[in-house]
Amino acid sequence: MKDLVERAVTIARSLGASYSDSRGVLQTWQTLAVQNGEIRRSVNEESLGLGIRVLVGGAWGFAATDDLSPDSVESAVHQAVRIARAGASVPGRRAELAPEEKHLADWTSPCRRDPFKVPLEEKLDLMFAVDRALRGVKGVTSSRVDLGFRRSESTFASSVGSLITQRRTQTGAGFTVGAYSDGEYQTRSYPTLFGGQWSLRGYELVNSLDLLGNAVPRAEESVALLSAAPCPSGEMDIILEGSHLGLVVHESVGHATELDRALGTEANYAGTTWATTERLGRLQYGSDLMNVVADARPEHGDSPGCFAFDDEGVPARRIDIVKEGMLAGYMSSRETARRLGLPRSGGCMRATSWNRLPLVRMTQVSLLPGEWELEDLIADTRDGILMATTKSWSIDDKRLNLQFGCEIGWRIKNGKRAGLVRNPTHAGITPRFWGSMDAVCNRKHWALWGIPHCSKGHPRQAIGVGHGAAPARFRKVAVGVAGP
Amino acid sequence: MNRRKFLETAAAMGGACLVKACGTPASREQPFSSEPPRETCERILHLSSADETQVQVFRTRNSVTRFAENSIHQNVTEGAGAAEVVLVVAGSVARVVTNRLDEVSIRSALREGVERARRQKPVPDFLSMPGPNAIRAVSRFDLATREASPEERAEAVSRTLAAALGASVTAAGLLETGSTETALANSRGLTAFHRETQANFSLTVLSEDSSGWAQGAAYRLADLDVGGMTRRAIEKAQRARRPGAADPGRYTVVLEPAAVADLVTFLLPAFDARLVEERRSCFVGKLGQPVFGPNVTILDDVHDVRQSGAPFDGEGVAKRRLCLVEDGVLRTLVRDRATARKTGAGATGHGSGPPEYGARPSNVVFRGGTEIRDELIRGLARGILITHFWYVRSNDPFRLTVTGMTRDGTFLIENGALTRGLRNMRFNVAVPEMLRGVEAMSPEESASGIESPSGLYPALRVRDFNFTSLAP
Repeated sequence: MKDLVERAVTIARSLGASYSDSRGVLQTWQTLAVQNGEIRRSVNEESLGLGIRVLVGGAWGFAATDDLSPDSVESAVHQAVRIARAGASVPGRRAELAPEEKHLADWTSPCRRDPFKVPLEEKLDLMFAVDRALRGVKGVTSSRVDLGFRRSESTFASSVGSLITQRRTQTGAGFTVGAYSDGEYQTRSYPTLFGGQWSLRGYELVNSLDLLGNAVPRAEESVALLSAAPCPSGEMDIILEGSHLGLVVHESVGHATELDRALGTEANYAGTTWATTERLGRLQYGSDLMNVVADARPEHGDSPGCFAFDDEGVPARRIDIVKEGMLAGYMSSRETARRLGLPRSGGCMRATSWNRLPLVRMTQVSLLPGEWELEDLIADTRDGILMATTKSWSIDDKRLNLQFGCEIGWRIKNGKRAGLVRNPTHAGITPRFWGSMDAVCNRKHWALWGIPHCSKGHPRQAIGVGHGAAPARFRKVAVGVAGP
Repeated sequence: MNRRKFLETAAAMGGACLVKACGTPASREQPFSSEPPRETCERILHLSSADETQVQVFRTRNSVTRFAENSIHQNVTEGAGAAEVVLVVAGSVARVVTNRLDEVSIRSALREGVERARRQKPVPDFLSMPGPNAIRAVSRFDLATREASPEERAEAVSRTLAAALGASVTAAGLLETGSTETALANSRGLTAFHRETQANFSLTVLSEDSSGWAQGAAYRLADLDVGGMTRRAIEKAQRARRPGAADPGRYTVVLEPAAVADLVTFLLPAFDARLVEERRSCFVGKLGQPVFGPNVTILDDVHDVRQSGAPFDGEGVAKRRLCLVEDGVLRTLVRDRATARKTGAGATGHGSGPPEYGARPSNVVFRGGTEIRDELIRGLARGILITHFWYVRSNDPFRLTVTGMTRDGTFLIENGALTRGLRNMRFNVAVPEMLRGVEAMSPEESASGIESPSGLYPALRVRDFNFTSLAP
């Protein structure tokens, strides 16, 4: 593959490209699902191909092929150049790139137990055991257990002279249990929604989650929710647990601070942002307890948003996004960084596969931990709701008007949990919501949550990202907003 | 999901038109793999040692010229083919998907799949694959669209950009052309094939304080009214300038067809007979009962030329034209073969195939009325016009309550006319309840949203649409 990607770049240069890069990628997946006592998914997939991106006359062209013969690769380069020239024939903005050094690297993500070598029987035995435990709880009417494994080997070459190979192994595991009675249907997921937790790890993730030990408690919660009190309506203090708060960070901070959005290049699909570039360093995003970073480095964690180099050959970096409540930075690419006058890219360009153009994507975008113990925070809350596990999420195209729902809530009265709450929801406006945050739990309660599929671009690309968060409290938030 | 992914990712390289204009040698004019998908199916079937085997081969060309800030900024072409193979061994089902279609790779993938199936528990009450069945072809293929060049796309986009510049607004959007071929065959003699082309245009127009939007699709690029959509999006953005605010509350609204698609999409999983049987659908116990207002009729019809997709499902069963809801009454559900056997009714051709099963309508025809959009507005003393929605998500997938935001053209209606643009608004509605409040409809037309697939939808005038908050 190294020869092919280097050859593609060489051909592009000979055809007049001022810059080019090429990625050859082999991806393999295995996904398994047991639902209501049956295997409902057992799929092994693989995909191999090469993409070439060129800059000609300041316009981009990209072509991809799954035929790795020299002729086909050469044809793809010609097509990319032709497409770029067609773009350059139309008046408009021309791309320029922030500088980047040449890198020669070979990186493999940590994987203690190769999930593709774990016997199928071991996986299915666990899944059926969890499924049986879920369905053994009286009142449960549906169950689903998911395991997923992904591996990619990517070889990148650029006209800068970089040659980078990365091997990444991801594992995901979780379950969802449902209970139906008298026109009411309630679910609980573990450890979270989206097929469970996803990490840049091997099968050791599955063993660490204790799916079986958590099955009965979650199943009992789903049944108990059927007769729980509905979410009250009004303004109330809320405590959001970490996995849900991670998604709130994703929607209201992560997407809002992708520099391509801020510059307008996603206006047709994902939208723009309220965090516009002239407000950098001056925009009050939230309370002074709010510190958010985008950090793709393994030192930050091992979610699907972790890597060594992005897909234009920039090393993984840590960027302050919000510092003590102020907008401090953006996730960027070489092109967008140059436009903002930054000295170099934020290293956030990623593509889902060989046949996709890299885009500015979230990496590991995390709310940094605070000082509180969770039980102290609950004890400090007179009247509120503790909400857990995302069920619904929606935000406007400028990332301002947000509404979320959770699978479960616990009413807090006088510092104590006082019963379950069904269908809890909260809504707000991004800076007011984050401005109301007055307490964040400490590192002991902080976890990095992997989301396997964040969509962006056209053709749409669903990529894995990560969000670290600990439970946090927000004052006087609108709750119970979803009832029509 | 796999099929969709591969439909999205597929595409062949080259093509005589592209390569010729590029001046590359004739030896490179052949796409990456010239084997017809039907022959690939046969080749894989021949290599399989499973008790039963189904093969689907997808192959697509897809090219997208994307623009923003009045400039072309992303410009791509992709090519791929992939095979999806379902293998049955002693009643156990495993699936393999690969784009490595050489014989050695295929043999390796099949070996792994058969071995995995052997080691799994059999599917209870396993149903053998279907034999040949009559599938009525649908013609949606246009060679000129498949071969559309980057220069053609650039030319069309340049006219839109010039119009935007002339109107002092900013354009962002895409023009996409491509083709998809799908071949399916199984070891019981079933064969099916479909190919079609696609041309899509989407445009968002931004002014300082407003936006407008238009989107359309056709199987012939020549039928795509890029100029008309450009004019509509620009007009909306200009008309929506200096937006006001409407207080949250219940309003009578006029939903344009894309907005209807954005909401009705959430209904579609509920029509799955399996979901009803598992008591996860709001249609539990409702067959033959009124579920919507008496003016609502919803069909599924893949053969309407304005639709897209193959006329057979993931099991190779011909898609039947269905009347799902007639005059507000739930008439039928969609069924895969396994659910059909359990319920004693026939499969409808909307299944995803083993072992995942499940079915959903894929070619919605929401039967419209006779009033044009402007008449829906004229008949309204006070209300709100909605162009389309954004980030619609389910609050409660059982009751089908959803939330989302209006986007790119929300207008106040007063005394039968649009009087001003409005800031975007958040809504929370139950889709079944909304469809019990339809007052009037335009004729149905091809429509899709940013996140919702295309179908045939009318504009609707709906009462008591619940807005809960405003965008700042």
